[in-house]
Amino acid sequence: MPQGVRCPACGTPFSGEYALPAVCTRCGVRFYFDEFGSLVPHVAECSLNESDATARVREWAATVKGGKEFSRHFELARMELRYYPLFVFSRAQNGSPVRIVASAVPDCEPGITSVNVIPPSLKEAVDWSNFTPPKISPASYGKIMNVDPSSRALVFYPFWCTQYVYRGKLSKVTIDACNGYVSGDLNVEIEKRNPLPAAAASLVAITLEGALAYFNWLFALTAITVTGAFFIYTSREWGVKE
Amino acid sequence: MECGTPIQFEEFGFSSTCPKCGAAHRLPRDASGVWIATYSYNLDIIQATGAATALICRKLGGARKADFDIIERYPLYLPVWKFTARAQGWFIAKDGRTLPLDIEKHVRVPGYDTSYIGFPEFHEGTHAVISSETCFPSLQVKLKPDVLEQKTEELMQKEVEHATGGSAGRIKYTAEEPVLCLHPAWVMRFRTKNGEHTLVLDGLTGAEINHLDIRLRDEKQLAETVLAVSCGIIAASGVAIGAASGWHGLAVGLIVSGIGLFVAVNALRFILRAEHSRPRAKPGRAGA
Repeated sequence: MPQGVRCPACGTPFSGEYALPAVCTRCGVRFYFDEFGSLVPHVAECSLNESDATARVREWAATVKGGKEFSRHFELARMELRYYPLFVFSRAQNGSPVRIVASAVPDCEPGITSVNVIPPSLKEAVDWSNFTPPKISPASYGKIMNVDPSSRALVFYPFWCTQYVYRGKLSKVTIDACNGYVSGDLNVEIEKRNPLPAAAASLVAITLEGALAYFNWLFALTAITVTGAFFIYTSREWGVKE
Repeated sequence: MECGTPIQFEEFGFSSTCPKCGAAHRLPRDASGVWIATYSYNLDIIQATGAATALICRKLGGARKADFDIIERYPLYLPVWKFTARAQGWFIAKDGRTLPLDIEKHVRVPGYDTSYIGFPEFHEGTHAVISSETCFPSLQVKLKPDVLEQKTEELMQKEVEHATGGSAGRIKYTAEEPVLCLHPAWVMRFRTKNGEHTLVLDGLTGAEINHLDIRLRDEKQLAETVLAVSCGIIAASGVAIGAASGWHGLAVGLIVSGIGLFVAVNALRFILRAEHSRPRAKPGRAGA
């Protein structure tokens, strides 16, 4: 157990059990401590309800690479609101402050560390009942994230987490419960399309239209131009999923 | 470690001595008794970002930094099982004699779902510098220790068949001294005009792990369609000439040229893609 831990609110020496959150025997404040000292964590307020979060995922599904086909066929599991403990490290870069966010628990969902948080502007976390305490020491990040571990702040940040099944595969998706930003994992993003069948169809169609010259050259030329333009214009939507 | 010097362990070894103070060290075990080897990161966030930026620029065909944004980057440990797979027993040779069998090889098996993350390439003689960090974000271990023997049977099947010539016998498969290696990786999520992608880099070498295929779909799709339409126009002019003027030689020539060009370009592309996507070192094979 770290030595000389004091309550960050009243400065009373802490002598309780080594478990998080620590509770000050004098003022009752719940706080976090590690080898760099103690601090009162902050919490970001959830401003998105479950139905809004579901709607955001459906909007996202329509815009990701899988496009319409994906949004029609993916099945969404139940939403769960989780407060992820995040370390927010500060450092100066070219004279301006930079914040680096890192997960304080071993499991890291997509989008968890891409949030923009400014700890002092957030509410202090008084009730820890919904929160998972940190399981990683900030010192772990010091060297590889190029940060001073003692500059850490602890923030509990809300995410709506869910999973979806698409083409038989289970994938995770998280929704930032503060701003509705959706982050998915790799399933949809590496979707490939094979454009060959559509291209072959355009080749056959245009070739056959050449026969219209038997009646009139102009007919053939117009048909070929229109078909070519149609295929090129719609080339984004054509193709078969690999 | 006690004197501050990093300790190097041989890849399939459990113990090592400090090169400076000579103190002996063993790999730590977790609560269930599994040996754990946690590799140290060679690349910090700045080096990893530099490597990722260069890689993305190259993948996007010479794109500039302004063409994409790295929106998330975090370290992640990939659990990989390393063990000695052993097949021991006897078999009946073709001449009727009973012969003993004892084959072993070092294997590396991913303990996680590799479909999107990929599997890091190991080079023979890679040593682990055991990290003092004990807890980082890591992928869930899906391949539990109790199924390693079953995995050994799969991995050793070829060797056993080769040695026994398919003869009957009794073989026992064992996974000896399994070590759960936590291999460091960097996850870089980035955004281009076509969407969001995730690149996974090896935390030791900076090499790409997931072999991300960021095909500029729209452009490729467009190129394919323009090629098809152009070939179609050549073939259609052949059909048109044949139908309207009766110059059959020229007509057939144009039709064959149009269709032939399309087939040739796509066949060439197929061959090149097959070459490119030929499987690399298979996970789980010694020396992979």
